[in-house]
Amino acid sequence: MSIYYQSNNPITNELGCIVHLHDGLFSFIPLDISNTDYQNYLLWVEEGNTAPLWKPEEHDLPIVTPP
Amino acid sequence: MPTSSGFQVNEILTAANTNQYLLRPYTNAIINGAMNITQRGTSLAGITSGDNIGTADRWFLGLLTAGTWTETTQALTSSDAPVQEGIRNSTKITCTTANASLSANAFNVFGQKIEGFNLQQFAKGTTGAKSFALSFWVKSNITGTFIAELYDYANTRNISSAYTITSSGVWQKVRIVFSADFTGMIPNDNAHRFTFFAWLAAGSAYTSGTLKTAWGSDVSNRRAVGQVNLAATINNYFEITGVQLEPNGVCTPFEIRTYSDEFASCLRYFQRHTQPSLRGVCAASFTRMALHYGTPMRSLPTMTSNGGTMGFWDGITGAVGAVGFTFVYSLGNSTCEADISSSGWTAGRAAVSYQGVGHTFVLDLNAEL
Repeated sequence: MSIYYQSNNPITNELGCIVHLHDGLFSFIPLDISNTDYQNYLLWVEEGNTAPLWKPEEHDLPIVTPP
Repeated sequence: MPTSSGFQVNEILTAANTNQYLLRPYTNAIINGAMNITQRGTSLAGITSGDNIGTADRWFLGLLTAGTWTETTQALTSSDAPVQEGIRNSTKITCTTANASLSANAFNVFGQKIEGFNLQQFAKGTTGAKSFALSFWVKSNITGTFIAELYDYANTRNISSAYTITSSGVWQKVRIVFSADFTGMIPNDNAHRFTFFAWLAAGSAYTSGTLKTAWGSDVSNRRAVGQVNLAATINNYFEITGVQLEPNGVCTPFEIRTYSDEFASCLRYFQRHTQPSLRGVCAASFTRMALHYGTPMRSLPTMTSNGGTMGFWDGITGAVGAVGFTFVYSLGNSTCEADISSSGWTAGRAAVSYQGVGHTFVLDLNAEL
């Protein structure tokens, strides 16, 4: 399982942010070079890694439902 | 007269010296120097590696193969000397697994990263460059030589100074005046440009030269020469508070800022929302909700939720459930908009989240350096 995913904006279908899986949590990282998490992601890519597309249905996310 | 040991109030202020020595607010480049703001909590155990902001906001513990540590925020009492300056908290770093034989590249440093916007008062790299007056309270069970370092990441230049902890378990005030640096301007921007390091342990890669006590290009083995190995024995500790880094050649008394001012300064880098009211609209299989942070952040922040529970209401029906974000549409520096995985709600209705007793949802926004 990758630790990073590329999350497209569902409306524009363009890359919107990076999803980072760590410690059992998902973080959403903006495409901002001033953001240190994004800098770390770019270093990970420079090492030859490629993040797959983020598909939330492939992960066991909780769902809020009415009672 | 102004001396390297502090500002004496019997000094006669004249037109010539007033501008240099008069106590002026907000010259401290350090945020949360009194360790009062602890959004992440007051204790973090099992720290072994990385670049961790564990308890006090803005302060990191950097580690590489130098033992295991616990970081805690300590409430000071009347018997603690920093209280004389109005300082009521400290950060204590305690060794829980020792490493008496450090590898060459091992290190343990406690410090704070500073952005370019907050460094311009030093006029570094100009003909008007100011000295860096560093002061802090420190206590350790280990006596001996410790190293304080300023590192200019914009120009890869640094300077170090040794100081001596003379008595075990006794608070002492450290005052160091680093010389002005007329080389290497600091960009006026929001990037990481400077770090104050308090060294706690260092391998030979940082200690095998002679200590570099003048500004110049970084030479790794001159950064922490003489530093004692705090990791040598379990239960060794280092406690620090009242950190101030100010321009000119005098360490003035620690400036107590209002709690709200200090808190707002920390919110620029990190915000933990434990009772967020997310507002949005229901769709068939998700709910799109937005959050306004209140305080703009240094950069666009990373958003992390803990997957905890919160209340959810669409105007007619309410429920409590664990929350998972599916897509984030925007992550601005003052607002964000995201989809929450949901099902069974009526599309088109308004949606609002709320937090009640027992709800556990937490949303972190991180724009640290």
